[in-house]
Amino acid sequence: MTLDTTTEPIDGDGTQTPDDREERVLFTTGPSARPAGVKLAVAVVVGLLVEAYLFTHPTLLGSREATRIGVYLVSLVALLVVARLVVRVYLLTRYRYTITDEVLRWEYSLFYRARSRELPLSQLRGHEASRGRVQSALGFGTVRFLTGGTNRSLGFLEFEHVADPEGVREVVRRQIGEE
Amino acid sequence: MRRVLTQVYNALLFPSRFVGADVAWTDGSAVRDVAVVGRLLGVFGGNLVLYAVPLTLAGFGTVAESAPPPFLATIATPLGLGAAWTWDFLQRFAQNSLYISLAAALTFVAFHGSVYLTRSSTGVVPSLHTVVYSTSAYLAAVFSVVWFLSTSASVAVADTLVLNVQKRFVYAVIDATGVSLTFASGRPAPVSLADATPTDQVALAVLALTVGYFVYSLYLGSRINHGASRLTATLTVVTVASTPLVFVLGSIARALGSLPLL
Repeated sequence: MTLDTTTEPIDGDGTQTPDDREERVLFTTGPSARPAGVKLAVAVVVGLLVEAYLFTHPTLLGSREATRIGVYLVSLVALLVVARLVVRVYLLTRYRYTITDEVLRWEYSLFYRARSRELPLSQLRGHEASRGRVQSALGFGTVRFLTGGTNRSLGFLEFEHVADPEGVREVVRRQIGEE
Repeated sequence: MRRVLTQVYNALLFPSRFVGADVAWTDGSAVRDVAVVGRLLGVFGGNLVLYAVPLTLAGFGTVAESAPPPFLATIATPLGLGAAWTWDFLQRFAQNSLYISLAAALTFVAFHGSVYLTRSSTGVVPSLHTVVYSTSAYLAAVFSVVWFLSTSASVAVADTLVLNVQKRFVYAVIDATGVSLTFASGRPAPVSLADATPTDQVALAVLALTVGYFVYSLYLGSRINHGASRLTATLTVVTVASTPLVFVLGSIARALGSLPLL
């Protein structure tokens, strides 16, 4: 977490114009990969346990061959779940969340591709924090911000798996003068 | 190409992204809805070609020999194709496309009917989106595995088992309705898995996995595209899963000339 870091906007020729105002960064962070990492570990352990159980009970599904089909199926499902979570863990490391004195910013970059989205704090209509079971156990949470539209529109931002989600909302509240 | 790879990646690892429709784009004007429906039918048509052309080129499908229409020669010959081969290819392509198109239509009726009756529907377009993506990808995968089983000598036991399960299901419905109908091949004998090779076992596991994907995609479509509750989404899946029963009952009624339950 970084507080009160200042960035200086410059125009195309590299000089600062009188109209440009300094953007003050109030908070910047990225999502933690730990909740997804814990799910990954659980998926591996559960997959191995189920397979071990099927191996030690070879006629559980009626015959050895039927149980072997079950082993193949569990292996395929476990492989897909693990692959999905590995991808998820990696992608989470590519996100960056920033709160400045003017905007909320979400940035993502991967293999020379980048995306970013900003919500002006002056147009913020609401925000909410939520914690899943795994997030609660690890002390993380997700904060959602909405300026307009639906949760699939450009007016929506989500800071996922952030430490101290209430602290994030507090920074926003202070900035928009809710309190 | 990148878009196709992204779709395959999403279909395998993130089915919710694959079947999830951007609802914000479908609750607008009628013109926009028509455009979205057109795009969805294009997606279905494209996936149908990707599914049916390789099957047809591999020789799947049987049609009665018939002379090609005269105009076909004027189109096929400049392309370096024989009129007879093109006519045979087109007929078998139509046949291979027909089954999955019928299955998609039945799935759509059952899916949308279920979300509509449970008052979860957010419109026809989200249902169409769900069914187009789930049938043209996951159901096509199920059909492809079944086609593979029916032709590959290395999975003979798996093929016999799948046919056996289907026959048993039909006979279970026949017995439940109390009508006296039999197949020419008679009642299916139990199939032993003792002779199943590792290839048979893997093929059956893959078949079960693809069926699971199809069912899960319908559940996700109901949850994401219609905002349905878990219970309603489960009911929708159960309704779609019951369409083979309706199909068999309809077939029995057609054979008897009346509904078997009346």
